[in-house]
Order: sequence, then C-alpha cells, then structure tokens
Amino acid sequence: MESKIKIFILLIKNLKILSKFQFNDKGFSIFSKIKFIHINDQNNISSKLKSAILIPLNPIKSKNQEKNSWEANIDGVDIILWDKILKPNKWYSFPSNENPLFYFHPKRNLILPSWDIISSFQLFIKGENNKNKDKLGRIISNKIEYHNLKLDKQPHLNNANFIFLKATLLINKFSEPVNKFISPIKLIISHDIDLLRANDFLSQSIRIYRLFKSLIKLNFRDVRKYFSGFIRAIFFPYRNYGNSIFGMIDIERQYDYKSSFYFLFGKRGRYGPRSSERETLNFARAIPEGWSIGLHYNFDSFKNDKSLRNQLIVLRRNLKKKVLSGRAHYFIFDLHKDAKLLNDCGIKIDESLAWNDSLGFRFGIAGPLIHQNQNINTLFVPTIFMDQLFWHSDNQVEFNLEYEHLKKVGGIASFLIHNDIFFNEEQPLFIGKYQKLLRKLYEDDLICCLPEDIYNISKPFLS
Amino acid sequence: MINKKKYIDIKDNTLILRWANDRDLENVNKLYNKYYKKNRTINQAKWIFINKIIKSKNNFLAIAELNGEIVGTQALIPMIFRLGKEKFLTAKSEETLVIGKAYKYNTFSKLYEFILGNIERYDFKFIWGFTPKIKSFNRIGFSSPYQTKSWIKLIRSDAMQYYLPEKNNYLNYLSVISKIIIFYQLVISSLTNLIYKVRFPRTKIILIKDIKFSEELFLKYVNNINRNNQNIFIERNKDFFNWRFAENPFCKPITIFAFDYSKSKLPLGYIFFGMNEDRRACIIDFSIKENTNEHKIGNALINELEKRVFDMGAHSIYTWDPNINNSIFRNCLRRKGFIFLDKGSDFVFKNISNDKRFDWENLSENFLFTRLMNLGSIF
Repeated sequence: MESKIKIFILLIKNLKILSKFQFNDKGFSIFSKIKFIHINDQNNISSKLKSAILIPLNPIKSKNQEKNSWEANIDGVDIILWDKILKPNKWYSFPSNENPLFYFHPKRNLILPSWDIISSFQLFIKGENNKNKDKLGRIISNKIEYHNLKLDKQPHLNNANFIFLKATLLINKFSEPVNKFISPIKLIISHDIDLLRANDFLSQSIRIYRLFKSLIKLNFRDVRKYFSGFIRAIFFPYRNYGNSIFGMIDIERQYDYKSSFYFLFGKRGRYGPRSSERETLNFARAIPEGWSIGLHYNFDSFKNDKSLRNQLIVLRRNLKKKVLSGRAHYFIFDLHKDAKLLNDCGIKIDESLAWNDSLGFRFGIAGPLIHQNQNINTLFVPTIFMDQLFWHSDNQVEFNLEYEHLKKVGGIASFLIHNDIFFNEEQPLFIGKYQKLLRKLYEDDLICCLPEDIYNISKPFLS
Repeated sequence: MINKKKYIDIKDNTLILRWANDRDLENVNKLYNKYYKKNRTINQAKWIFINKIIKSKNNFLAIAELNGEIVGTQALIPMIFRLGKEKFLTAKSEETLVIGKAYKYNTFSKLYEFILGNIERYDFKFIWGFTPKIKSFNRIGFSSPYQTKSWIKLIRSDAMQYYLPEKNNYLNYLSVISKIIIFYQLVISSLTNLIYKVRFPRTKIILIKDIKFSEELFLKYVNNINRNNQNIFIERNKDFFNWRFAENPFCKPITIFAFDYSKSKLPLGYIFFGMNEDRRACIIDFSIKENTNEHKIGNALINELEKRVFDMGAHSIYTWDPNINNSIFRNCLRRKGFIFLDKGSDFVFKNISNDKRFDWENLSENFLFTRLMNLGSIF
C-alpha cells in the first residue's frame, strides 16, 4: 500500500509538471486547481469527498482486463486506454458505457478514471530484466509486451491529463472544447555529434569493405557511392560531418529555432568517439551563442563513476560554460541504475530515454519525467523522434499518427538529428529532410525550447 | 468609398465585388490552395494581406462573388518606396486569381476597376507586381516593361535535376552537365579569389558577422550601408523588416554583414539569403557601402554565402539581376562564376498618380530588383 501511495505521489507530480507544457495559461490555471485524492477502491468512497479526481490504488476490475484496450473520442481526439476498472454504482460514464474515459458523480463533482492509471503508469517505469536486452544493454522494444500491444503509440500521461482536464471542464460546466486549452507542442531539437570527420581509420575501412562487397555483387551504383565517399573523405574530411553542424544551425536560423549539440568525449575506441578531444572542443567552441551544448555520454560512462565526471570536466573547463544536458551514446542508459550518477554530475535534463529500434512513447510521456528517487533532481525528457526511425519510409504513417496525436493533446516533442545523417551523400534518403521537417513544425506553430528552458519551467514543481 | 459593387446578367447571375473581411480569408485561402495546388496556411495568408506598413482598417483584398461563391481575388500590398530622400507609397499586386466560370464577366478588370475606385485617398503612386498573365494586365492599362533576369551558380551535382525534368535523365547526364558547369564556375571563382589574394596579401580586412534582424543594430547597419544609395527601391525600415523578416510565417532569411576588420563596428555591406525546401539557395538582398573596397567586400560576402549554403545542403544559388547598370553586385556575381540567364518573371507596372516622375520611363534606370520584392514562399 505504501509503495502504491509513493507511485500515486510520483504520478501526480509528473502530471502537474506535464500540464505546464501541455496546456495554455487558462488550461493550466483550471488544471492546477484540480484536487487529486487517492482512495483504496471505487466502492469505498467517503461521502465527505467532493470536487476532486479520485485515483483508486487497488481498483476493482473485471477478470483479465489488463491487456484489453479500447478507444474513445473526446472533441475529435481518439484516446487509447486499457486495464478497465468497474464503474461504481450510481455513477455515470463519459462518453459511453462501452468505451468510457472516466466515470463521474455530477452531484458531488467527483471524477474517477475508467482505467487503472496507477498500474498503467507502473507498466512504463518499472525496471527490465536482462533477457529483454541486446548485447549493448539496451531494451529491445519487440520483447516488451506493452510495445507489442501498441500501448506506447500514444503518450499515456499526456492522454491522462487531457482526459482529466476534459472531465473538469464538464463538471464545471465549461462549454468550450478541451482543445481550446491545449498549448502548441513544445519542441526540443538535439543533435548527437558522434563523428566529426569522415576519414578516420574505422570509417574508411568500412567504406573499403562495402566497396569490395558491392564489387562482388556487381552493384555498380554502390561501387561508385563508396569509392567517391572514400576519395571525398580524404580531401574533404569535415564535409557532411563536422561542417553539417553549421548547416543545421543555419537551417534552424530560418525558422527561429535553437537546438542542443551533444558532443561525444572520452576514451576513443570502437564505441567511443573517433575524433580527438582537441578537434571536438574546436567544434564545440564554434557553436554560436544561443545554441546549447551538452554531453553525449560515452559508451563506458556508467561503468564507473570517474568516466562521466571526467568527460564533463573536460567540456565544462574548456568551454567555460554550464553543461546541463545530455544523452547517452547508443541510448545505453538504465533509468534505475544510472540516474543517480547523472544527478551527482549536475546533469539537469537527460534525453536518453527512448526506444533505439522503434518509434513510440517508451515511458508513456511526451514531457519531463521525474525520477522515483526523490533525491534525484534530474529531469528525463524522452527522445521521441530519432532521425533514422521517423524518416524511414516504413515508419511514415506511424510518425504522422504519433505527431498528429501529440499536436492535439499537447506536450513536448523531442527530435534527434545526427550531424552525419542530416546531409550525407552516402545516405541519400535523408537529404533535404531536415529543412522540410522544420518547415512543417514551424507552420504548426511549435514553440522551440532548449533543455535549460524545460528545466527552469519545471523547477518550481520539483520542490 | 464604395464597399460593394453589384453586376447582374440576363440569367440573373449576380457578380458582387467587395472588400474581403476577416471571415472571407479562409475561403480566399482555400481557393488559392485549390487553384495553385499549394498548402498555404491561414496564418501565412493573414501575414501576406495584413501588415502595418500603412494604418488602414482595410486589407486591400478584393473579392468577386458569383451567386455567393468566391470566383476571383485581387489584392494590393502597400509598400513604401524610396527615391533619393523622398518616400512614397506604392502597391504590389498580389493574389491575382479568377476561376474559369467567372471569365465571361470580365471579372479581373472589374476587380481592378473596383480597387482603383476605392484607393484614391491613400495616394499610391504606382502599382507593380510580377505575373505570368501579362496580357490581362495589359488590357487594363498596365505596362509590362521588364522581365526579371537571373544569376545562377550550381554547387552540387544534383542541381540540374531541379531545373530540368529528371524523367529524361538518361545515364544520369544531368549530373555530368552539372559537374561540367560546377567545374567552370569553380575555375572562375578560384581565379577571382587568387587575384584578391595577390592584391591584398596576408591582410585580413573584412570581418563577417551574423546580425539578426531582431537585434537593434541591424537596422542601423542597413541604413548606414544604404545611406547614399540612389536606387529606387522599397524603403528598408523597421516596419518593413518586422513584417517581412521577423513575422514571416514561411521562413526567415539569414542575414550576414561585412565589417572593417580593424573597426569592427563599421559596416561595409550585407547579404541576406536563405534556402527553400527544394534546396535552392537564394540571395534576397545585397548591398555594399559606396566608396569602399566594393569588389573585395562583395567577394568576401559571396564566399561566405557559398560556404554556408553548401553546408546547409543547397544544390544551387539563385538570385535576380539587380537591373542597375554598373552594379557592383552584378560584377561580383560574374566574377564568382555565376551564370547569367535572360529569363525570369514578368514585371507589370502602372502609374496611378498624375505625376510623370512616376512613369516607368523615368524610373527604369534606377529601379532596383531584388528578391526582397517577392512575397509568399520567399526563397
């Protein structure tokens, strides 16, 4: 019971912070007046309770309901829910008995979610066993049940806030649709700077290997591609790599957007950076004022305490800047084991939480996530759209669905674009896509934020 | 001011001409998107028609309605021009659109008749614009005295595929042609750079900086550079830049300035540019202070532009010819290997004042053309 209360407190804290990004001023003002009260189950509601949203910690459900999902519509927005709980006697369902979003008691102004929100939240934040991980220690999405059931196709917590706001509007007899209270999506753009030059030994070896492979297969188009890539890398090592940093900045300038650059530091090696520390610092120093610089935690960052600290010291000391945000290289990060070290190192915003192999809201949230441990102040903003995934032709429909849904319910969309993907003749599928993406986001009125902005907005809630 | 004009034909079809109100804007935009197969948002439409260049309740967007359906649109966008030290109001013709079923009512000329009858008090000196439909404009008294000319530089081998249809690109010959042109342009450009290196050995005299239009110094620098400029052109003032750059819902240009290296607060020239979704970079405006080392400054600005747009992923750089004889800009482009194309948009013009100074014949020599005159998707 005690642990469920802790989860309840964590959930409410997360919902409150999220509401700041999700709703406009009017919506936030209404939402912040909502009282959330935990109850044991929906059949034991004290007669003294009035005007509140009740969260049952041990709700009564029909048998085998956990994995059954249903869809309901509020003001034109389709919401997916699962793990249905039973409606209390003499309560009403909204919008229908078959596919309810919430139950309500009109006389006492009480609202009860129609699904087990505590269990649903736990589903996303619980730790994973090693069987579901790949050789780099990352969770494989298709080994996770909720991913296979497509429960992560919508941001669950954003949906919950959307439903609670609608319920509050209804109970308080507001006639306006809920979308009048939704703020435009907040946008975070970040770039992992894995590679600064094209002519390092490993990259050139890969090109030669692929060149021979395509020669054997008599694929002359690829032969030309890898041969010209090899030659170009010798004469123009920074083209399509380090120089792309400035190309991306200029494209962002055209839309008044800013972004963060996460530089890879530390021990060089197969999974570590391939550029020297000096070279990386030179590029980091050339990032113009207004753009943010963060750390792309090296492959070995969480193997011992020193590695991450050393990388941050190098970056902070040489740039004479606060480095407050970052993302793990290859997304190798365990929220339960590694978060404390990040917090101790002064990282305020982390963007490491994401599926590395699939689209989806892995932690059920499009916004900042607070850690279960109260001593950890680092906020986790999951990366939602990574370049190779959402630009892949197979994922176009899914990306559009997720993005359009997020536009309707509000929240934070974080995009990851690599400098070596942005414009690379060896990966022609992605050429020109960044400009088109930013144009679309700009036309949709997305508000660009830096990680520091997200932290500053969230800070009052953390205490 | 007449707000509405009604025409009824023998079949009782009623053609109404009136100023559009805010509620009409959505339908006007829908018509535009349908007709031109575009995806212009309502915000973008509002930006085009509603600006603060002059204080007026009207947005100078006239519509023709046939039995309640919008069948034609014609707008004027007020623009302040400068001729020496004199400033005057002009109007740019925009949103010219008449659908097939309204042709027989002579809708286009009636729309202009309606507009001209209603704008007398604003003292517009002339109306100008760019259109492919010059015959229609000629019929209502506009002249078409000029066609814009272009300068192009290819910087990537896929550039030709943008300008020529790719479907006939046998054996990837467009890429080969692009490479030959790029090579030619590179030789010319390198020669120019070499000459400047020989003439100014080891002296760094120009400093290039990004100055954003939201910065206070931006306007000060622009005015300083254009102080002695005798060209006839849009007044580059605060309201214009706010509207055209800062509030632009399509996208915003990148603005770089050249400074004297030893006196870093002394602006010498600027170049504004951007890149569109099709990866074509475009020079929007360019100016160099008179009585300076103009060619060297121009060369430095274009070098920086080329480097920047290449990193952005552009395949070519495009700009309009300025139409000014002995223009430094034109010379700089030529020396950097840009190719001149005698092809562009048709320009239409009508002096609506009684002042002969505003006849095209008297303006043509100093009338400057830049992409700053273009609206909508600006690059």
